[in-house]
Amino acid sequence: MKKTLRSVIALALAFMLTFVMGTAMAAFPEKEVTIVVPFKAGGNVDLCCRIIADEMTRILGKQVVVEDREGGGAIIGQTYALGQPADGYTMLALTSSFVTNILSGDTDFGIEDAAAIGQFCFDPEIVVASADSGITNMDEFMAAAKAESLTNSTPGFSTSHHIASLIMTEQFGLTPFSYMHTDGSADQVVQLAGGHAQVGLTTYGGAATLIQEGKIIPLAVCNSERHQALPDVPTMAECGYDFVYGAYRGFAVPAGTPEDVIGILSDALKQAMESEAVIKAFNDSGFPIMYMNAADYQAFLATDYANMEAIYYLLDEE
Amino acid sequence: MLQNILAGFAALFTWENILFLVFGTLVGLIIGALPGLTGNMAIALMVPITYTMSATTGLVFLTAIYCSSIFGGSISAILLGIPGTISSFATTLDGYPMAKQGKAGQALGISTISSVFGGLFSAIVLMFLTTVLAEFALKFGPAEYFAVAVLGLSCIASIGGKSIIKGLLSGFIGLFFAVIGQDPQRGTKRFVFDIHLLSGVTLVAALIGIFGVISVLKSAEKKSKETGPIPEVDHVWIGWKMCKKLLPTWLRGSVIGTIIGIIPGAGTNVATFLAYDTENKFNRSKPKFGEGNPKGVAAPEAANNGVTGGSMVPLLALGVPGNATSALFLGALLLKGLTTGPVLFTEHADVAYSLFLAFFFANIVMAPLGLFLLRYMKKILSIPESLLGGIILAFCMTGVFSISSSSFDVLTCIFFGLLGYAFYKFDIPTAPLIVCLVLGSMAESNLQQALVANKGSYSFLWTHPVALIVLLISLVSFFVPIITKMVKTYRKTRHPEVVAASDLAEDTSDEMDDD
Amino acid sequence: MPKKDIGLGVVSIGFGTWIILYTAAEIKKKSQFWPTVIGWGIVILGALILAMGIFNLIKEKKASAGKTAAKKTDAKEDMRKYLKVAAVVGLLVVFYFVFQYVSYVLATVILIVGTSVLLGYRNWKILIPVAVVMSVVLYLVFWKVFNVHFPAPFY
Repeated sequence: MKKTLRSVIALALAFMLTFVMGTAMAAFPEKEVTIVVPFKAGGNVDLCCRIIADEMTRILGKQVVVEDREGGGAIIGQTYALGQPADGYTMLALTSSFVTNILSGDTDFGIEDAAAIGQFCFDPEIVVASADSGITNMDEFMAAAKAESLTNSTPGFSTSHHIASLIMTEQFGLTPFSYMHTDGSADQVVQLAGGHAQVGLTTYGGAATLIQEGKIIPLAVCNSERHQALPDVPTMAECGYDFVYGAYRGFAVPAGTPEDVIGILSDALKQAMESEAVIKAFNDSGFPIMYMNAADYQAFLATDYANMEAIYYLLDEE
Repeated sequence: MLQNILAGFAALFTWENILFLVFGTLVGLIIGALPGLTGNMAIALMVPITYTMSATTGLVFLTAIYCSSIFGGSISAILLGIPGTISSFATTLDGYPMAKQGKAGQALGISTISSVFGGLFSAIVLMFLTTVLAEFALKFGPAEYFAVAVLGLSCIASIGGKSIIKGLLSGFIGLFFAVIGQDPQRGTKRFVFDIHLLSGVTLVAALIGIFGVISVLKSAEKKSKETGPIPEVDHVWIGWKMCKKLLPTWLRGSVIGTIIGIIPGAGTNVATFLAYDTENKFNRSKPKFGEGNPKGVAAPEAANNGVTGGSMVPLLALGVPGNATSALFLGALLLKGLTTGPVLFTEHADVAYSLFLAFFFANIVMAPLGLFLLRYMKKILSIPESLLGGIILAFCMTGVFSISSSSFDVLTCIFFGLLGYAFYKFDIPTAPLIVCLVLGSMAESNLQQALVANKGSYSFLWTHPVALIVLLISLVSFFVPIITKMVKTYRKTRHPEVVAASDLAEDTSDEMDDD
Repeated sequence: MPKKDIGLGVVSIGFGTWIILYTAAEIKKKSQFWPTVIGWGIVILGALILAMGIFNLIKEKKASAGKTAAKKTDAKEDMRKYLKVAAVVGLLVVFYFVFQYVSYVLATVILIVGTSVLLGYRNWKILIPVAVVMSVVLYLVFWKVFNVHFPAPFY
């Protein structure tokens, strides 16, 4: 009896609170904003979000905190964040895994359940080869990859690096790679540097030292422009291959969040990404900044979804 | 070199750094001792705090937390029989029996000194051999990882308790739970009854269920007045004689820990299993392992702190983190605008060497702080078991929830508590289950990768010398205890009187004096 | 003892068989190898335990022929034991629901008080304050220091 009473009171209080908050929405934010990171603390996404949260706290005047909810291939955190009230107080750190998870059919949410806030980072894939493989440029890579099945080290099944390799195979008619799915990007680059796998796709940050050491050879950057840390490495287009792919990171809120709240958050993100502190921290950490506003990011997600849908059967065949 | 070390000293010894060294050690000790909370989590929380500090101070602070949290895990392992993290699981096997025999103080003392020894050993290795050993880390491909996982798995034969068959059964059930989730190589879902199982069973939740929940269930079984007298808690300082006796164990444990720590991704867990198992195999003294042998505490504790320094080797030399914790260090370094790899030594030698020295001094500070705190912590044992039970459960549940704010983990923990209870009722040992749960997917995933790299042929098993040697050692390590046991039972059934006599002789000659 | 082993053997065989059947039915062919091996392992080990249990039972029967079982009186005591264990598990399940949907502190107080009473602790003057202080402190420490957000409110 007492318990029911308690829950009734709790319910009533919660109801009143949401009501009060609803009327006061004009002055967003009223309280702390949480960024839900569906990955491990200390990973790349977590690191980016912590840097931005720091700056957004300053801009919004209310605490912006990062909460890591890992597990279930990021589905747990994504489901949780999108299931929160659509009031802008819970943002989801949205990455390419959002799209692949929906396509896997394991999620209760769809692409329409997230409203984009903006993108802050686009980390282009870099085609690399192990120094032991004897491959030193993109032409040799293509020739070798067409002739035989090369061993390809990825940081895990259905990660963006894996998917990029699949798309590449399809697009350029390569012999399907023999994939070695390791446990994370640290493992991946060690396998490449040690010569246990021949080629791979990776992002710059994790492989920086091993590239400088000459143990991993960067062949081409999958972006429209060259990577600022690798000025001598050509883009795919320069090598004669039209291929742009990378890991993107941004924020989203549950669909149905008021437009003005999305506007406030989106502007705050833009300001944060233009601040000196964030630019320095991102540069130092090797994360390339690429801001995209809410509308553009939403459109980008829709395109990515359509593209992924077209090639998703490749993952199933694997 | 010497000049660099001196520069490191100069950078390290400021009041601020020493303050954070001590503070970090305290934080690590306490967080490590709480079940479910790991040093990893503590460091992730503290990284933002280090934004405002100088590079050296920040690293000193994180280092202190890292080293002492690994050691802190042994406190709950010994006092309550609950390993807070997987790395202190092996410590529980002998530490808790020691505490029950009234030797909690001694066990804690041993774990302190062993941790310090292992930590110092790895700090020295880190300081002088980083660049040499980094090359070694790159030699490990899937075949070698597979071999190391198998070596870890092979120890289930000797930690399986009385019945080999039941030990193996426990191991196979552990392997089954390790299969749950996505096939690491093909993405196929296996036994995913709930979306939370997609990335597998949460190891720490299972571990705390099997050790924490079950300890309370066991005491619920007793009649209310059966709690018995509180075991006497003796001194924490173990004496030089014991130190001398444990020195070979420490050395072996530290070497194993440091080497395994260097192999990226192999992790602390394998190191503690191997160190424990090695000592178990070479041990001739009484009591038996699993019944409160001091060496059973010393070996895994020296090993898991040996890992701390080892795991930094690939990070500093190759820019690749050796485990989850050193990944956080990488983040902290990057945010300070420092790059890892050989550049760090040439361009920021003062930071690099003060990091080495921080590892060294964090371990030294740990000894007095640990021994001092433990004098009070061991008082936990004077709380009546009937009152402690509820508190233990509250801690376990809260700690498990906090791993990733998941109530499903709480359910996992309760489930494994029940499973552990069933195991206890059927006399099945739980240790093999944990070992297999931890290593199962490492073995499977790397076997599949090795097959891919080798075009589907098993020939890598003999063409890779390192893998071959490690696999041969695993075979010996697996079958020797089984054969020994079989021979013993055979002799017992044939000539009972002879065996009894020789057992008696063993008892008297190998008794290990306790002071 | 042997009877228990027979039971364990049967359960293991059943469990292993289930793994094999489930694997064959529900898991894609390319990923079947490892789970199938594990399933067979459990079946074989279960069969061994079963065989040894039966063997030992026959041996024991021969040895103790004539003696009657004198341990019948323990049945009641056993029942009490299992009831207590079941009650503790029940408390954990209650905790699981209450801490999610009602209140963390309430859930923890119920857990601590309930378990302690089941374990035979009766000193209420200590128990109640300990339970209350413990749960409030745990909540505050995890929330404020470790940044853990509990699903239900504080009270």
